[in-house]
Amino acid sequence: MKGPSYYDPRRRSARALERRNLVLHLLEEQGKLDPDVVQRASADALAVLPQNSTRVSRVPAFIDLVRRQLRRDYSDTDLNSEGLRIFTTLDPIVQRATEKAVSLQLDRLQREGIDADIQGAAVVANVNDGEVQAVVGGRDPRFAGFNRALDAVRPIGSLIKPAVYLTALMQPEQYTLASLLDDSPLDVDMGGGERWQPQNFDHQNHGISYEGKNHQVLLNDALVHSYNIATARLGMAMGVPVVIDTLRRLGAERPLTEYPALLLGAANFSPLDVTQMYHTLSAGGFRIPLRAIRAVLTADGQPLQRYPLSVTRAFDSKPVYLLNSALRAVTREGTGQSLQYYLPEGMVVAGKTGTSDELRDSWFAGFSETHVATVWLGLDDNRPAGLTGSRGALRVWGDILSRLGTRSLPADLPAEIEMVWIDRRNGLLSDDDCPYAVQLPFIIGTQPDGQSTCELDVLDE
Amino acid sequence: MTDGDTGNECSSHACAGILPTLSVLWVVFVVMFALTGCAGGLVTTGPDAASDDMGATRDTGRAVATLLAKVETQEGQAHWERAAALLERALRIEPRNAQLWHRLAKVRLQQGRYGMAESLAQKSSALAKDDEALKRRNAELIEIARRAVTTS
Repeated sequence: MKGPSYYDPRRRSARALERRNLVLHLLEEQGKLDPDVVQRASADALAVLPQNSTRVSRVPAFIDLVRRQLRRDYSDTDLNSEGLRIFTTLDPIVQRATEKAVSLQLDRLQREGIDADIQGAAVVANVNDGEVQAVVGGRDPRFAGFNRALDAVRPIGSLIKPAVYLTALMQPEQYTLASLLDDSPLDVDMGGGERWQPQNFDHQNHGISYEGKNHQVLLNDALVHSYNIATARLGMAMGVPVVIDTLRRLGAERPLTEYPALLLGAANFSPLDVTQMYHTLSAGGFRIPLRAIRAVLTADGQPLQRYPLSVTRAFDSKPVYLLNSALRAVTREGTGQSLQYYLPEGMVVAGKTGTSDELRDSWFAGFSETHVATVWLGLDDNRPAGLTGSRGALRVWGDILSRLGTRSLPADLPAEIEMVWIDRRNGLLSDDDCPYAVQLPFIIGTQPDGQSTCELDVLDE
Repeated sequence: MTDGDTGNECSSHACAGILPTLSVLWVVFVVMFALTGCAGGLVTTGPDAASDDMGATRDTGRAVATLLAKVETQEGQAHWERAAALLERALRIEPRNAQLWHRLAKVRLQQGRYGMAESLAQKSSALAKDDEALKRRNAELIEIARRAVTTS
C-alpha cells in the first residue's frame, strides 16, 4: 500500500481524497469503471468513521480471544502498559458479515415467536491456515460482556457424530459408507438398575428388513439423517474411549466423561472448540491450531514474537474424505438440506446440525473450501430455546456463508478414491438405474463384493 | 515498521480495529467502506482479497515471486524464521500452492523441526495433484526428517 501514513484518511484527508479520485480516474481510463460511477464515487466524502476511544473495541469478542491467546505468553502488565503492537488475523469483512447474519436471523426468529432472550454466537476461520477471521459473542456484537463464542460451553448434540463415523471409517476393512447399521430399538443396561434407551429425533426406527434383521440403514444415511440409535450402536461397537481418542485428535481439549451418552453429544464445548474440531475435517485431516494473532511487535516495530503456522497430520486423508462426502450429503439431502434456501445456487458445502436435549441448544458447524464456521443459538439460563439445529443455527450459518463469497468444495476425486453405485436397501453393488441406487465414494479395493438384484419386491420398506 | 508481517495491527491496549490493505483497489475499497480503529502498518499484501481467489492469477503470481526472491535471500543468510514468515505470507496469497508448502517444509527441516517438516511435506503432497516430481521430493524430505528423528 502506498504511503499509509502520508495518505492517512483521518489526519491527511485532503491527500487521501485526492489519491482516491486519482485511482478512480485511472480505473475509468482503463475502462474498468463506468464514467458515471466514477463521477458519483468521486463526489462522495471519504466516509471514514471517527476514531474509537482507545479503550472501547468495536469487536470485543474477537479482542477477547486475542487477549487470551496473548496471556499464554505475556503478563497483564505487559499487555496493559503502552507499547506492544499486535497483528491479528481479524478479517473485518468476514467479521461484519457474521455480525449482520447473527443479528438479522435472531431478530427474525424472535418475530416468529422464539423467546426474546434468544442469544447466539459464531466463529469463522480460514480453512487454509487456521486463522480466526470473525468472532461474534452475542446478539449485540458491540457489547463487551459474556463472550458466548468462547465461554458458552454447551452440549453439542449431533455435532459429535462425525467423530463416531470417522472412527469407523478409519477401519476400512470393517466399515465403509455402505456398511449396514442397525437402527432398531436399543436398551442398554448401564448397571445399578440404570438403563439407556436412546431415541431417534422423530421417535421412529428407520431402515428396512434384510436377511432377517430389521431396521438396517447405510452408514452414510445414518449420518446424513442423524439417526441416534444407529450411531449409538456403532459407537458402542467401537468403544467410547476410541471415539474420545478421535475427538482429541480433532482438537478437543475439554474434559470428557466416558459414557455411552457421549456418542450422542453429551459433551460440552464452546463454539470456538467446535470450530477447531471441524477445521481439522475441513483441512482433510491436518490439525492446525486456530490462531487470532500473527505477530507481536514492540512500539518501534521490532518483532518480539511470531505465531507461526503449525500443522500436524492427525488423520489419514482417505477416511476424512469419505466422512466429508457424507457431511456434504447432509446439506444436500439430510438434516441440513434447508441450507439450499440460504446459499447461492450450486454452492457445495459440508456440515452438521446439532440439537441438545429438550431443544436447549441449536448448533450448526460446517465448511466450504475456504471457510469453516460454527454457530450456536440458545438461552443464557439454559431454558429450552425451542429450536432445532436446522431451524435455528443452520439459518444463521447459511446467511453468514452466503455473505462471504466463499468457494464451493471441489468436485475432483482424490487418487485413492472411487465412486461406486450401491443399492441403498442392502449396501450391495447396484446398477446405476436401480430404483434405490446411490453413488458413494470408497477407498479403492473396499467396495462390497455382492451384487444386488435390484428387484423392487425383494425387500419391503 | 519494516516490510513486516501482514495483518491487522493494533496496540495492545487498543485493539479496536483494522485496516487491511492490499492494492490500490483495496485502498479505494477500504476508504469507501472504512471500517474502524487504528491504521494498519505497511503492508503489501492483504489477507483475503487474494486468498478468496485461490487460482493463481498473474498479479498474485507476481506477488508470490517477489516474496520467494526475498525467501531466497533470507535462506542464503540462514535466517530461517524470517524465511518461514515470508513463506507464510506467500501461502496467504496462494494457500493451495503445493510448492510453497514444500518450501516451508524445507525451512522447518533446516531448523531441525522434523515433526513439523514432515507434516508440512504431507500437506504439500495432499495438494500436489498430478505433480509426481513434487510428491517424490516430499517423500524424500519425510524420509530425511524421520531418519533425523531416530538418529538424533
